[in-house]
Amino acid sequence: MLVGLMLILLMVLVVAGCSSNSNDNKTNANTEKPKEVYNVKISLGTNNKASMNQFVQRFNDTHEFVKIEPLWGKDQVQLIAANQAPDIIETGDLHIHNHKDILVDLNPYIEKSGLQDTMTDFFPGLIEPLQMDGKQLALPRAFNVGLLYYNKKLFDADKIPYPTADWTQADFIDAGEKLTKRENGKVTQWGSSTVFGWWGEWLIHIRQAGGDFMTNDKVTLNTPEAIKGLQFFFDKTSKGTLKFAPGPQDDALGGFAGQKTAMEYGGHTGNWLGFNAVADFDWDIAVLPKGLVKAEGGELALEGYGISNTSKNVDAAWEVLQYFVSEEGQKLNLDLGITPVRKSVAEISLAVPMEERSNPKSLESLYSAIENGMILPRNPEFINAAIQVVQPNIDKMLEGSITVEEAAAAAATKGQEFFDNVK
Amino acid sequence: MSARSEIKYFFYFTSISIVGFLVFYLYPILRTIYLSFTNRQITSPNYTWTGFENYRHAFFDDAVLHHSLIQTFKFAVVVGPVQIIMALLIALLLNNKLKGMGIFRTVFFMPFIIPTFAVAYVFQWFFQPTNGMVNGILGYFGINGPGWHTHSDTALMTLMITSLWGFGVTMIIFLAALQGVSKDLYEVAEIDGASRYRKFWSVTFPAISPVFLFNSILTTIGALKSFDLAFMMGKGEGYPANSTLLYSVYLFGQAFQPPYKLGYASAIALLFFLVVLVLTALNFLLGKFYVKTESK
Repeated sequence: MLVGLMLILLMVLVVAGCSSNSNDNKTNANTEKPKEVYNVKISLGTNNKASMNQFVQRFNDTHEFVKIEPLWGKDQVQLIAANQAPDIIETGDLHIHNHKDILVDLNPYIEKSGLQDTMTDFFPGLIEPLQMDGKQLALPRAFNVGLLYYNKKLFDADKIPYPTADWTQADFIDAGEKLTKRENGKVTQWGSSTVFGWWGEWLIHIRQAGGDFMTNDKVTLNTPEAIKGLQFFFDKTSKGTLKFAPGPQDDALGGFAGQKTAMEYGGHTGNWLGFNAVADFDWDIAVLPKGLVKAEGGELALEGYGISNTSKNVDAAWEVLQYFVSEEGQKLNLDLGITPVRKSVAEISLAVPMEERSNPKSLESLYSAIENGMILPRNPEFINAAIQVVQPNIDKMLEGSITVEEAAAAAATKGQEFFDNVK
Repeated sequence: MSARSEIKYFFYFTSISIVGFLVFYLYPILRTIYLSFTNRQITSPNYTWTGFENYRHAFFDDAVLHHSLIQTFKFAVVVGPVQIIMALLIALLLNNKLKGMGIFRTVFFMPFIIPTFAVAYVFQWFFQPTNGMVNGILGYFGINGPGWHTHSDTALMTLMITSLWGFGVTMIIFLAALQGVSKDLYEVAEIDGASRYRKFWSVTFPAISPVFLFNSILTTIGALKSFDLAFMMGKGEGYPANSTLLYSVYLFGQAFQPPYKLGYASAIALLFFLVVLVLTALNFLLGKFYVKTESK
């Protein structure tokens, strides 16, 4: 009896421990179109549920045998850890390295479907970052690129001309200083925001100054160029010399969306829906001003989607993926305020007269900023190194605890040690 | 009833619990031990046995891990004892028979049921250096308040202060223990002319000392494992400058943030288990000096 029960328990353990990575049921590119309805699972966040639901609905209404089954609010990483990976995996240029072992090579599907012929319609630079070892592991659905965000009302109030494509760093500083207001020693309006806690802004300044985070697998944050970029990042905050952006201890006045901050350097296209939800917020975008040395340097980040190699129906998942990048899917993206990755769809948005567009109106700036965009270092440990090892030095620099040079030196030394140790 | 039947019924009645224990406790523990010797990443099915490499890396290479352990000790050394003392003092106050005492008991327990993210936001607003309420009050007395959660010198202290108010459960346990202390003992002490101070140390504390030990162990483990508030207030990364990077926050980041190093996270989880085990044993050892049991 006892032995029997223990055997049953052992079996339960074995079953629970068994991996469900089997690909036995997977169909391949050469099989026929599925005739039974197949639900393609995808994890979707609940923050954009209203708009994403429209996307899902539109797809499901127009496809007979393949339906999208959104897993609202279910964390993709946890599903993968539990061997329940959804059919479609959200990834991006920053994550593709970590997802490379669980994604299907899309090249055979691209060739078979004829998508190859339309690849030239994608903006340049949006396809390659989702490739690894010659395999196309994902397709881009949307992108983010560094831009200069500005509050039109605050510019109008001071009769300052809006930022233009030929702005330099001097123009940015000039506007930032003019737009910073103080009353009784307290700042009541900031000329620009500051990004704390991650690389979102300081890396742009470093790159525009001619430096970079890494070059040939070496951390190069202590080069003279990188130091100049960091110096500008520091100088614009309240502990620096220019003082038109908040330091960590200042009241950031609600950031750019708080409408008491005139500009945001870098920003994120993913915030557009949030900005447009703020009442009476009249904002727009411009390309980033030319930095100390060059205009190039704004972060270019891709939101991409690939197919899990544990998917039981890769063909069905491919149909969904194709819809993401199809003209119809991309147009729908556009309607939902998501940046399209195809030039033909972008042109549709540009054909709308500027005064009829919702914010941001200057979509020309969005698309032209792509050519100055730079992707992040393609190292699987980049996030860990940047956040846990490099960022603490930047934080201390902004506090005024260490100098810019000390921060740069410590960031480079400790960053390099980190990469050497994880090899 | 025969011994065989007894065994049969024993398993009938306990099998659900045993299966639950094996599947939800024993298996994850064994799996964690196994994974700690591999380079398993969540997003990669390909992994290999790496022996003690994860442990070697944790001991000798990972400076951020060492830093997080130090921050966690600092946090636990302050929060654990202060929380215990606060909980005991409030429980002693609430043990009095006063009108409306039920309301006070509810009020002091309430923080425990408020979601952590709400606590984090409210306290960050309180402690905002330029416009926050706390520095506003300090400014009224001519004191230039610190940077609180925005400065690496004071962020951990701010986290400690914010964590202190979650003593509700500890307080309730103390309150239950206090209500179980025999009234006769207090009457005898009063006849002997004992002061309130003397009554506490000679009657109350010895009577509740086993509960004190129990609460000490729970609070120490709780403080060492602190996660949610540190995660919220430190933006999930120990901001600013890793000052609020507690061990559990770092551990979570290693497992569930890129590159999702589940094997390494398992190793440092087990190391942390050993640390907690040693400190719990130390608590038991200290308990021998003050815990009074019936036999004593």
